Amino acid sequence: MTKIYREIINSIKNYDLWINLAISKLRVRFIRTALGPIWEIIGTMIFLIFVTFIWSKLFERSFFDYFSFVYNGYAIWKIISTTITESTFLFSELYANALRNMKCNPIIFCLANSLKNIFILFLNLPLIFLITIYNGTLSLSGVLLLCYYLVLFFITSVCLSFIISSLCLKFRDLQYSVVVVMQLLFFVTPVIWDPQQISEKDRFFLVDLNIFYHYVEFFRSALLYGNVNLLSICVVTITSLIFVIITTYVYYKIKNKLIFWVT
Amino acid sequence: MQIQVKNLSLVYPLRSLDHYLLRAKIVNYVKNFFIKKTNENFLKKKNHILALDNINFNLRSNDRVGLIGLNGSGKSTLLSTLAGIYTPSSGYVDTNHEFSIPIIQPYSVCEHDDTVQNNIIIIGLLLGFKKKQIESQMDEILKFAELQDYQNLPTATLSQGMKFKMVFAVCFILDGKKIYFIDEFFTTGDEKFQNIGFNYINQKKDCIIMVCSHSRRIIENFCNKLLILDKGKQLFFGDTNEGFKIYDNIIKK
Repeated sequence: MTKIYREIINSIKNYDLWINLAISKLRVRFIRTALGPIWEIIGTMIFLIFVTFIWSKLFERSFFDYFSFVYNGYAIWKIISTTITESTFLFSELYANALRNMKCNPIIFCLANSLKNIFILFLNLPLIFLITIYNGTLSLSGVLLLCYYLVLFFITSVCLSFIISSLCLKFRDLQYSVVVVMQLLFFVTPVIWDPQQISEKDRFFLVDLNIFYHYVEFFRSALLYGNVNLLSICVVTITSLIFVIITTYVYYKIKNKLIFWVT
Repeated sequence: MQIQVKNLSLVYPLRSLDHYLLRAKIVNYVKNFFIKKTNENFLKKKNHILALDNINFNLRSNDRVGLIGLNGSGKSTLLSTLAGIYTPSSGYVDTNHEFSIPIIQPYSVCEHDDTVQNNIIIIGLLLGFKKKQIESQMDEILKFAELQDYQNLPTATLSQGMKFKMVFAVCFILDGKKIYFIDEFFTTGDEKFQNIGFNYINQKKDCIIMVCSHSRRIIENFCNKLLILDKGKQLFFGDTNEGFKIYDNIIKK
């Protein structure tokens, strides 16, 4: 087990590689475009302006109030969803050649992919901060909570990415089912709707038991309200720790077999 | 610097594409239910192949080894196993992976839309070099590969030969590695660059270089030892001239 930990720690220490891989993927994503990464903000904004326009009327809420709620939630949901969806083909397509031809620990590619998605989240942060400042809810505690959240989110993201990538490599049917589940979860999780709009009984099943809700809510509340409910903090912290344990176990079980699933 | 390989074997799983289909799984299940089970060989039953079978050799500094064999004999698999990409099923490879570099198909990891300079950094990092070192030797790499004018252009604009030169320069100009596992791709460059390349490699002191190739000319000119593989088995390891006599007999069969 010590060897396993050493291998994982060495992968993390090889930050030159995974940071550069993340930057490279991000650079290639917007290459040959005039606006570059600004497209990330424009795309999200156009979608959310239309969603807010319709839903704010349906729910009889003010446009700006609802927009700030939806923007914060959707920005983080998009990253969660992209990380999980990309993980389904991370080892089988995105980094298959590198795994086949280089002596590289697969965790490095999970670190790179998760970091790339965090960078994309950062593109949305200036607008989120502007909304927060306009709302007058920007506080030091909120920013500190956000920093704590980002660390936990990155850990969870790397772990989840490794587990999903490995499973999808072995069981290719999962690639398709994960995408379907993520689409479903977008509507089930309170991303564009407020949990206060449903009954308490439904809230328990759809909200409190939904881990994704706590990840969305932690991010949204930290900036939008300057505080986060204790349940979400506990769920996100414990889930991150559980994912670290599961990932270590999965890595221990499959590290020698993984390369045969790629080839 | 040394490589010690003892009783190295590698069992490689093989799966036909039908294996994954639900239909095939059901048919197989029904078949197994009705047909009496026999004591089939484990490898056959589980659809595995013994890709490497009991390989033994020792290499020391300044050894230049040619790895030769017919198609499917396990040359690339052996290189990948020595480089630490595959874990041996049994036996062991005793070497320091920190100083080894697998040159199998490094160009396959290129981001074709990214610039030549950025790709050099990524390939270098993936091969285990440090970013500071790559950046400090960037001019040298670009000069050797004759790519100074292309450094800020997308890699997609390079010809296959230019990409090969780029990869070659990254692998050999950067200092710090002592063991090189070179796969067949290396022999695809034009003869002029092959000669320049091999002369350059030959000047490297205290290194172990293992070249997998079908080209007798390259192995005769460059290697002092020969390893012949046939269907995963080691047929010969030793002097190049003696080895080629054995290899000629294999070809004639």
